[in-house]
Amino acid sequence: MAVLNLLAGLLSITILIGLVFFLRNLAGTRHNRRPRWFLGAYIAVLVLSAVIVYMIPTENFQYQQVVTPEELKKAEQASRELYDAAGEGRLNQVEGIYVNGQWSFEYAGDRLKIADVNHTPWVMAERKQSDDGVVEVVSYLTTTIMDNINFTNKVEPPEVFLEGNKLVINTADSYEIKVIRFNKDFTINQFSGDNIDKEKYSSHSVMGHQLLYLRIPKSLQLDSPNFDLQIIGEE
Amino acid sequence: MFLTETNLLQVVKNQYYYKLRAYSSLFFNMIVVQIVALLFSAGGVGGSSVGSNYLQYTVKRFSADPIIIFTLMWAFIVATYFTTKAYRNVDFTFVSNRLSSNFSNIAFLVTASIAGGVTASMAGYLVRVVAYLSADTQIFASQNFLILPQDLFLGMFVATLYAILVSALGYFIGMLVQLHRFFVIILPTLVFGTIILEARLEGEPTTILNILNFYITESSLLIFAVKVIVTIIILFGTGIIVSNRMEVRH
Repeated sequence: MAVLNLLAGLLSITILIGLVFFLRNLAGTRHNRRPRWFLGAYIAVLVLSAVIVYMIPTENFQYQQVVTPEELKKAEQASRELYDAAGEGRLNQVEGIYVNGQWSFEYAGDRLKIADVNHTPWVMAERKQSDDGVVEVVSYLTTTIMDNINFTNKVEPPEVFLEGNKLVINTADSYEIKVIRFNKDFTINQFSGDNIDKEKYSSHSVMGHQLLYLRIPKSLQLDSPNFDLQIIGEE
Repeated sequence: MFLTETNLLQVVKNQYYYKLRAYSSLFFNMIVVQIVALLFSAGGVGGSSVGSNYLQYTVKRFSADPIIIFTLMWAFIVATYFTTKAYRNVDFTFVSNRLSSNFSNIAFLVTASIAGGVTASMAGYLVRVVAYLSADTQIFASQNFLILPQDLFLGMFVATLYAILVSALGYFIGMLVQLHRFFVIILPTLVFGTIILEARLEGEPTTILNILNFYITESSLLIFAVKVIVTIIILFGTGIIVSNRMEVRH
């Protein structure tokens, strides 16, 4: 590690020295009177870009609301508790756990295979008191916070459908969010009290979790060859 | 030749105006340097990425920091350039003495630093426009997108102070090197030697960091300004003394 740091340091020094020579050559070239309108034109471009910045409609910048520490705490709590809460039947009581999809299928067979596409979701099942021939599926989601911004509504629910004797769970592709942020220049940060390190260290993210909760007829047998599926009250 | 004090001022003024005209190409170089820095930073000055099965989150950060840093390097080079023999000989075509030459140099360097500090800080707007236009369907955080007027002026003032500080350092080092070629070897050896030695012994180049932190961690604007101005006076003053010694030698 130390060697790597030293190498990185040496490399940047080399680049710096190269740049110095490059700039020196630039400075050393003829001292003719280059058209001074260049400086004027450049300042005009800078002023123009200031005007443009103020003209850019910032209503489009919708992801500006930053979560409060309480929201963050709740989100962390929900993320931690999701699995246990599902096992204990408390899913609807924990703050920060949301339903983002509900399905209901009539199924007469006695065996149901569960197939997943993309990645394996968390699935938990509960047997109903009777054989009513209905498989109910609810998708639960916990709050997802990235860099202090709540992105929960960007997480897509899976597709769930019945295909013969197969219940297919097609988890959505991971949603890609690219955010552009602007920092104050170091010349301003130095005196504004919120220097960049503090900002960096106070950046919090909470990975949300998703869980599918199945309610199945009393005597229906489930097969899930690809992943572990917990049926509440059974091994 | 005899120069009264009022005459000295007049001579400095004449030389200063002459230099502004003769070396306007240096300002052109500054623009080139700032545009190069802009291109360097077009991909963002920092960023991070986190992801889960459900969400892939990437953030890119933009600021005018690279442009300011490049401008400071430009200020340093310009200052050393003003100490070179080829340049100093130009001054002899004028009615001048060492002092007037030094003062007009300093006046020019301060002017260049103001131009550099002001344009580099304003380039923050250009960075934002470029980032906005070059982004496709990305999301913008509104935080810090608009530069508050008081922040803009603060940035200009501080960047200018840094530029003058760096050019004073460049002027001082340039003069030392002109005094004796020996310093070309001894100064880098001293600086890099200290960095490498301390990095090995203590894990980080303490002395250099302490010197840097003396300025960059000062969070009171007034104290920062005092620190910088005092350093500038010391560096330029020593530079002038060194250049006077040179005259004796020649």
